[in-house]
Amino acid sequence: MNDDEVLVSLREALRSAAPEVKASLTMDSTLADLGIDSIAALEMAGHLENKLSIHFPDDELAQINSIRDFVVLVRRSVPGASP
Amino acid sequence: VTVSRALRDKTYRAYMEFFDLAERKRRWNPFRDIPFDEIDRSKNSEDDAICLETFCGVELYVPDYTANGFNLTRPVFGHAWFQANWGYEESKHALAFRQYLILSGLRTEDEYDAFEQKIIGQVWNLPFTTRRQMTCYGALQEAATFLIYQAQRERAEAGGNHVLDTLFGLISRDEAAHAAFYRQVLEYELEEDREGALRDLAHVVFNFKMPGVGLIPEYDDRLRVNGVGVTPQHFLQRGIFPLLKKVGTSRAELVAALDRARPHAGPAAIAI
Repeated sequence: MNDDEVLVSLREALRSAAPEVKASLTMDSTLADLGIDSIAALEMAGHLENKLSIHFPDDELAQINSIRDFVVLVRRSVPGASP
Repeated sequence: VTVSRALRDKTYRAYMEFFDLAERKRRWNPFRDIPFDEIDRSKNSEDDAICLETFCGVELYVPDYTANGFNLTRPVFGHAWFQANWGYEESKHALAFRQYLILSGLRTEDEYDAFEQKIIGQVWNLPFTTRRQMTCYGALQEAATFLIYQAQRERAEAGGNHVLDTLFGLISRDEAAHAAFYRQVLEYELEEDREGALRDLAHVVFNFKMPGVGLIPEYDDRLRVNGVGVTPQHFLQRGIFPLLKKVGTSRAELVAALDRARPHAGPAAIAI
């Protein structure tokens, strides 16, 4: 799974968790840029976990501040993907 | 709203345990148990004043919290009586903050009075509408408040301010007890109606705001002062995740409950 594929999944998760967010999601977006905090990001994480059948450790999820952090976490969590 | 006998009985027992423990181990007197006469003014700063004033302001809405709380919980005596004790303890917190602000010289009596008048010029309304949702809110909000006061205590201890260390030690212990009561009642609610309680918990987690938001004057500016609030990350790690674990659920279950509760759009209509 490459970064672009993860970004597509993240955009879907954002649409589902926060449909009111209009800002476009890029690798360099911070959660603050998108107008969400890490609690709202929980919901995004839940959608990603369901879709990709992965599990994020709670303590790592709590540290997420940006989309890049999310991408790194997803890639680390997908079996066989390079971190 | 009908509340089952089982839930009423369990909540009553939880209240009795809360009250018994409070009477035996947790009662304190703001005039005797905090050594205000040992305040060292050189250890105070304007940041301390803003923190204390903000905390005091939040506690000053006790009349609104209790009025709303009583109306919501009156069908469940254990919960309503808890509200009475909770209000007593929170009012004591406001008194302790007020004493420190004035006796330390961080605020004059006139400045404090002006602040208090601004506070009572606003009314706190319930952020959620049902007793069960407010139980979820209580569990989260008390946990967040405990984390904030605990950090203040650590800061006071590190700075050698033993008066504030004592004050925050007493108050944060109360907040921990309040959080534990709400958590216990939430567990009972989950036993009673897991799907409904999870739906409420998810709704509250994803729409949570601290009570001072929109009420305390210059709240956003105050949040920039270190220690006034808790970061979402810290709240997640030390507040939300432990709560979910304690009541026997998970992030995944919470998100699934939220999804099920959401009205889903049907298939897109075909233009004809």
